[in-house]
Amino acid sequence: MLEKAAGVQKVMAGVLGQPLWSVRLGVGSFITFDFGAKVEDHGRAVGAYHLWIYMCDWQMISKDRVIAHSELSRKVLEIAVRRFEGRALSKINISQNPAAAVFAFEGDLKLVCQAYEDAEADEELWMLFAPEGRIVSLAPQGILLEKESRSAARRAVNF
Amino acid sequence: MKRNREQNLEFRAAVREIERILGGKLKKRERRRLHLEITGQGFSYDEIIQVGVALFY
Repeated sequence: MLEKAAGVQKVMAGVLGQPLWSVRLGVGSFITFDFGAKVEDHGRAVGAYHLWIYMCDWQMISKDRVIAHSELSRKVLEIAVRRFEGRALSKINISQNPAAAVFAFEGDLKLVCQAYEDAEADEELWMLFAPEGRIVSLAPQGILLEKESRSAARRAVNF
Repeated sequence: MKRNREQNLEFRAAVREIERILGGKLKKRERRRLHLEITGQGFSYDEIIQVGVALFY
């Protein structure tokens, strides 16, 4: 348990201070952040640290005021997420019961993530992809540190 | 149901359908790749599944 916590802490600490060079609104309220060196993934440049804000209810907070949240219109969110541009992460606080996280960026800007009320136990709020195939993710059932290889063998059925 | 939450759930449902077709779970890196491929493209639910099959079959 302590070993796992130390592993998670090490990965999370690695992203702090890394320059953010891409922030994009994805499907629905997903947001992707690319930090650090650019690495190639199937012909596409991604950050050595790639944070995917996934199935979570989130708020952007600047100077203690909510300036945007995950259910605003796409047009508004496209503009709002640009506030993150050029800011490195300065601190990350994670809690597991209930699952939540606060990503603090330089310049007093925070992204507060919490699980949806109807979230399934394995529904990740976010995933942080880090060097060497390490991935930290947070779901209502807890925090997970994995190491994934790029290879995938799978048998196809029914299409 | 909230609108953006609905779209999030639709993506998750598409991932599950892709996994059913492929006969195994997508890795997180594969899910990420799928998401990066479709972001900003305006794909329908069915098209997301077709992209997933095209990428990972």
